[in-house]
Amino acid sequence: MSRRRRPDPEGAPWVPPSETEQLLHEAGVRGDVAEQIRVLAEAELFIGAPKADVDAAPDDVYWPVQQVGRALYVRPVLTRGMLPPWHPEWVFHHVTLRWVAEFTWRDPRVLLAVNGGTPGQLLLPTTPEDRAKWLRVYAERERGSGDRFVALRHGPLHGPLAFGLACGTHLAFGNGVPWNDVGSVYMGYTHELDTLRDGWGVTDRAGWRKQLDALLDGRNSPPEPDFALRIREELRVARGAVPAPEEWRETAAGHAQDLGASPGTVRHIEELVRRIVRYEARFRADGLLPPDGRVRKTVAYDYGRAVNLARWGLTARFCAPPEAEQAVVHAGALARSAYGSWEEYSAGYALGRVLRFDGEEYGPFHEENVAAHRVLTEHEGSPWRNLPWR
Amino acid sequence: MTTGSWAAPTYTEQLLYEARGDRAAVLDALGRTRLYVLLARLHADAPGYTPPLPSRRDKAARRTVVPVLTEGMLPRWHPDWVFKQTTLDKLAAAWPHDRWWLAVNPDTPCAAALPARPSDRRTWQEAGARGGGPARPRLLTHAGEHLHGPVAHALALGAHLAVLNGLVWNRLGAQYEDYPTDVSRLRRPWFVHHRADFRDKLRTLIATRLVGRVPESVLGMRSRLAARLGHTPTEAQWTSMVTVTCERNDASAEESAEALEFVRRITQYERRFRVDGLLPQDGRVDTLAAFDHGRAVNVVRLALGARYCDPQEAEESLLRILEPARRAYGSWAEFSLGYLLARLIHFDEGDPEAMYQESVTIHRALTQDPSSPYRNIPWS
Repeated sequence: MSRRRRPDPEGAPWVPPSETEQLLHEAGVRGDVAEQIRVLAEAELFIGAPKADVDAAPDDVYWPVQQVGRALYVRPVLTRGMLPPWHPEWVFHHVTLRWVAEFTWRDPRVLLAVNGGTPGQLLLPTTPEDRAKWLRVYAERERGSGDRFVALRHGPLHGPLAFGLACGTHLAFGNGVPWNDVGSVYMGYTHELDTLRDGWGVTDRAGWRKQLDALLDGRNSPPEPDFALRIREELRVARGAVPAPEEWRETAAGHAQDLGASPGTVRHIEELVRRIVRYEARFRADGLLPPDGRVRKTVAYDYGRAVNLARWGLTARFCAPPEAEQAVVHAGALARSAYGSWEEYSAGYALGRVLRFDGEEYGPFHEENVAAHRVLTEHEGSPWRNLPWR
Repeated sequence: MTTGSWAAPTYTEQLLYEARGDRAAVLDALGRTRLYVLLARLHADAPGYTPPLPSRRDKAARRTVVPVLTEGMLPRWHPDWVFKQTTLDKLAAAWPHDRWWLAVNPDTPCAAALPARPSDRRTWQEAGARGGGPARPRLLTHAGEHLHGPVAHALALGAHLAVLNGLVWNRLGAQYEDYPTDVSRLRRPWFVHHRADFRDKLRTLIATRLVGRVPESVLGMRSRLAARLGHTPTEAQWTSMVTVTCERNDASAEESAEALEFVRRITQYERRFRVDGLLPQDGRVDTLAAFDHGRAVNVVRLALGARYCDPQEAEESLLRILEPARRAYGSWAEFSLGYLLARLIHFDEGDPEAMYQESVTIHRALTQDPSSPYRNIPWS
């Protein structure tokens, strides 16, 4: 063993910040350019720009040539792990290798600099022939951009901030972004502006804060599911056993009537109980719940989204890192007091999400939940396996 | 000159074969067909690069020729060699050299060689204008490709689109339309940019997740009601069932209105189908799955053309579409009508009448033409 160890020339070696940089670095050490291109085809690439410029023309990417040496001209891109810390006036476009290949490269002497000026630097020639090869590699890409567990070595891994971020991992996994990042970019500056506007009706800081507070208060999701689930828990405590579905349904309907609900609402509660029973059966079959498991609350869905909304707001420059971090930690603490384990939290999240959007189709919303649950409970790097719930 | 037992692969080569020696007839045939030019994939992929027409020396005839192929004569799929389509008209406009000749399907029984002096090229352009370019809609069968068996059956599920575009329906070959078109069709409207996207889209289509959820769910309600009643419910019965179900599911006012609007439009189209003899008096459409399955076949053929998969994966993908499609319908006629109805209710904005006529023409061609796969491949 010791004979193989060589003396370290200059202190600690460079540690690649995430899997992408690691793979690029390893391929580079082997001199395997084809592999580096393959890694770049599957990677997220970022081009920095002043926020004011992007706000003025969100659809344009201005990507000027930089002179970095005596006769060395490059256009720079960064990979996810090499993004600089958050800055209020400096944002990033998210691009793909295909986009880079199809960019108008007029001067064949200009190189593509991936992570230029860092130990992970990679310079690539950009002649039409090279770019044709990039396009081919991109076409043969085997992995989509979503449903992927990604982590940053330099992101929070322990403590309350990491715990809060881990509560938002369902969506981070679905979007293929690092789970432990409160930084420059979630997916891309304009992408998050679009998401917030189209999905949340948020176009400014005030609107963002309002939606975030609603999520943290558990007010975004409709109250009926947790009303029905609470009645089942009360029955269970009173009877000492989980009530039969009919009893649960009748009791829930009765309570709703007592509270002055309209006949329509009462019918809705009854239907909701039936629906939850069916979903839970499916959850057991798909491993989201243990054989005798059940969901006690669905508020996890609001807390999980709060974590992501905080990160989106940070990317959109609606807040600064301290405020986003505070919201993430807050969401994590709320989740911790509402549930007893990561598995329970995840099942609550999954039920909240499908009741809202799946309509008993067991479609993409359900499938994504199952995929996230499986990977996050099994992946050895998953925060759910490394952060204790209590 | 005789050719023994040579059989033309498609109608186009038949025309060329019959026109041998008659330059006017050859021009006439070429004016109505797609012509294909070989291209290295590297050149096709190079952004902003338009490669010159390929040329080669024909030593026997002592001239330089530009070889082009017609659709039936294309070689097998190859990862590095692709084809770009052109027409006689476009060739005339971009011809590089007055003394070169055009060699259509060289060294085959349906070969044609044409001089290309400026006066000749004017006749090409006239022939192109006369022929009006490739015919569509048109049912085009390749005699040497899949005609029977499961792969042919699956390909026939996509025949509506092949007929609409006038492309060979039964081929898993060098391309669907041509390499650049296949790549760009996948980008838009399919948002498929690479192999992983293709596989994802295929899964979504096989699970019929792209046909409208609302029309599909109101059709499902009607077929359940029909099973209970023992006959097809009236529009009033159907409407009241949809209203009750929407109420029970706590649907918003817009959602209920949308569902009822689909009931109205589907009833209207079905009434028209009956008048036009497409649907028996007591017949009805129970699902629109055909539309996703038919489009899935199209996506597989495009993905093969774009080199996002190889022929083996394409074939396996087709077979994955076949079973769910067979389960959803009882016959080709039902499948075809499901496709037709889905296309109409999804895309009849703009000019509904033209859309109706075009779709019905395709449906009729496929259900009535004696050479159609729908009449030659048993459904189950």
